[in-house]
Amino acid sequence: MRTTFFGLNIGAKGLAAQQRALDITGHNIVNANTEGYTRQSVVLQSDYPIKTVNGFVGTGVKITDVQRMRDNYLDLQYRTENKAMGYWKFKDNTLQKIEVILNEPSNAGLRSTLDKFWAAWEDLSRTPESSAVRTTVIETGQAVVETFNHMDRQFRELRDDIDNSINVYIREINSIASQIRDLNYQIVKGEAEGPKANDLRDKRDLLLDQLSEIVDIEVVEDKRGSISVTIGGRALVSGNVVNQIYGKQDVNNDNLTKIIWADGTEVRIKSGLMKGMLESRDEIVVDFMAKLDKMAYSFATKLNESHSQGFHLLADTGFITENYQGITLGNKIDFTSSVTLNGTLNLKINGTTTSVSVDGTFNSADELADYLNGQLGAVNARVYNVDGAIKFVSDNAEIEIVHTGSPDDIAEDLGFYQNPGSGQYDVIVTKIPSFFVVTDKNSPFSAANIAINTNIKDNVNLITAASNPPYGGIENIKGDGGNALRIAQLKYDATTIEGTTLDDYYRSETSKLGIKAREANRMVENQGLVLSQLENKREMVMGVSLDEEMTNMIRFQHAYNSAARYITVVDEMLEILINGLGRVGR
Amino acid sequence: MRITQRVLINNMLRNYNNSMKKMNQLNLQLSSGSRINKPSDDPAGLVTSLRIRTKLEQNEQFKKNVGDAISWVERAETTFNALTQVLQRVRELTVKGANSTNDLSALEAIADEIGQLKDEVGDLANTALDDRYIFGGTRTMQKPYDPATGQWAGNSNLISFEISENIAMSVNFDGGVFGINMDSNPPDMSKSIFATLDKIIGDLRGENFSELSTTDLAELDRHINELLRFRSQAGAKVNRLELVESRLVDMEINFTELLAENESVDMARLIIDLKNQENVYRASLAAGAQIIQPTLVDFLR
Repeated sequence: MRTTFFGLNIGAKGLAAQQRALDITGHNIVNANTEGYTRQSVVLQSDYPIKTVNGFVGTGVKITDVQRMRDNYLDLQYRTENKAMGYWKFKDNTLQKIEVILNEPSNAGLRSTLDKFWAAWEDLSRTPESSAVRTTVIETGQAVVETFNHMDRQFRELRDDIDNSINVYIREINSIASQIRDLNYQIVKGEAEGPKANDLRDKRDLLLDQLSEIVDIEVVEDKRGSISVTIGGRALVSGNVVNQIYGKQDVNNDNLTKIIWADGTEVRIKSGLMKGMLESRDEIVVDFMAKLDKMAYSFATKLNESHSQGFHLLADTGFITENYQGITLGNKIDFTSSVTLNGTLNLKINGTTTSVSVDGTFNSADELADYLNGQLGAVNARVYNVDGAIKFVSDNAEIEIVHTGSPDDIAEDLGFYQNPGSGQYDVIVTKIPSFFVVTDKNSPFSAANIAINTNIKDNVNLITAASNPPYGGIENIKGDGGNALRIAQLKYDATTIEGTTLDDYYRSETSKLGIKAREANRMVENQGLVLSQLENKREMVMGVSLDEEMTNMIRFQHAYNSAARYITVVDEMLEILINGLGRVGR
Repeated sequence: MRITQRVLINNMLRNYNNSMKKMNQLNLQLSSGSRINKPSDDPAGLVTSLRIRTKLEQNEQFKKNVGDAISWVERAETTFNALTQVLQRVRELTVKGANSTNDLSALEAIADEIGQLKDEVGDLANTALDDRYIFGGTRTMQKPYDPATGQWAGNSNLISFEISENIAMSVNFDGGVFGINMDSNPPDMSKSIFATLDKIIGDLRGENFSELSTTDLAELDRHINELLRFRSQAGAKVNRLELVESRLVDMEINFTELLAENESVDMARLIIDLKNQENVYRASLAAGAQIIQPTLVDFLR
């Protein structure tokens, strides 16, 4: 026999189920634009039937599950592609910034300033008498120096910027990790009773998406619903435990940030935004800075070398100025047969007396010059052979040949004549200043460490335009632009840097950079396409379609109305039963 | 396949973005007039571009150098012409003076005139171009010839200008033009034009007619012939320089063309592309607007 109120129960369950379904539909609709929201789908099943004398009878509807429509495999694919996106995005960004620093092709980049500098030397070779032209050499040289300095500064700033970004993202990673831990706890607690904590999982997945762009992560979910996130094999988050990462200053790397775990081991990052940042900071920018430094070094040393072989216009260049007793002017030693020397040469360098012992047989002025260089040792002077004459050159040191008159004094043998009668000692070729000097004496030339010698800036006549020695006085070489010409032709010198000219080297490096930038740009575009395809696929599974929800809404509304009507019918039946029975004949 | 609004919108947005990117790129090229605005636009083209720009600047420099060189040599040439004329006049006077029928006052007059001509030669020796003495070798700021002492202070260093890549040409003549022996130190004036003129004046005043008509005339002729040689040298240099100059002008045109080919944009094509892209963009905007607006909500009561 059927229970009296059995029908009502079916109706009530129906109402509840349809109401619930409507709630979920409403939830989907209002969250249609929420980022990371996965649509929820209600699963209605008929409730357990009961056995009656008429057979099995159904007992109504129940909601067995609220499904979260999410494809985990698509999520995995998305995160895998996302890290490559992050990596290339940052590299592309960095390379674009470097292109801006280089500023080529243009009339303001390094190429242009270098061309103008060489042009100034050409002008000097034609009119070495003109101090205006000499000043132009200094000005254009200053422009080159400033361009080198400026570019170096900008690269350093870029490197520091990237370092700052790395620190910002370290904090970001830690923050996301904490949030994931909190969600882990809540999800486990919530799901302990059975049903899935859909919205919490949505939040967690969104965090994982964000994290996957920054570093390459591996995600594993355990039976209780808690996930562990690992980077480079070590767990960032595991259940309720967060292992934070830290940024520490690395003394081996210019005090830039190194990313480490709490115990000091370095975090192994292979992809993602973080890897892009590390590579940009430590490889791309550093590479280019090194190349720039190389250019500055080769440029400055080559120019100084040629500059030191010329002669300038200051009266105390100290070359022999008189012809004495028919001896041919000049300090040329006759090397037609080998020259044997045995004695000492006495020098005064900046007022301090030094003795250089000379002992050997020499076949050429070059040999003798090399030997003397070796004997000078720590003294800040160099010996050159210029057209068979021995020349001492020093950067701002005053060198005097001292004739002691003792029998082993070989000053005269080396071509340094004493001016008799006047009692004066010939001051030989002092102060051929270097054109370029270093600002930091402890390091070699580099893009930051290069400047024009202030002595030359103060007196432009110190530029060694002349290639002939000032025999007979400096008036004789005022029109001599031979050394200026030689310097101007350095731009064709294919031994300047790595077997090519300076210009060629710069061009090829700039072009290489352009190729890298193009590649990065292309990769970003390609990854963008791949990612958007994956996004679409995910969207198709988990996205809310308003039309669909509207249709569902109608569906559930009708079902609700019908259930309500059914209850009315049952109610009327009961009404008759309760109030109508037992009133026969009344 | 289940398509939601978001899928439609995502696709639409992505395509708009691509359209905009293309338009941006075209716009950038159009407004700068250049196809290569940064190295990544065309790395290989960039190398060519940089190289040609450098060559253009070098070419400018060479043109300047050649122009200067031509000035130098032409100035020397003019001087040689004047000098030849002076020597011809001296020869005339010497022939006249060698005629033993002249009396002392006539000889004195001739000697005076030759004296004046000697001063003229001195002036020519001190010819200057832009305040630089051209016959003094590298001693350009002071007169090579001192009339008072008769000494030659100039040297025989060459002044060379770079007229083409790694090719330098000397543009000056030294005291050798005036018959001075520049190999000795100090320069040996004993066989110079000045010495010859001095001797002629001396011979005139000393009435050494035989000397005048033999040795002196022979020396004069020697100088005149030497001058001829220098004149042709100068002429040859000028010719060569002018050839180089016209070649440089041609090269400039070539390089500029190459640079334009390499770097500039084809304006017409670019504008058509831009218009095209604009149309595509507008069409997609219109279509997108139609698609994303209506939902079922509009149609339910």
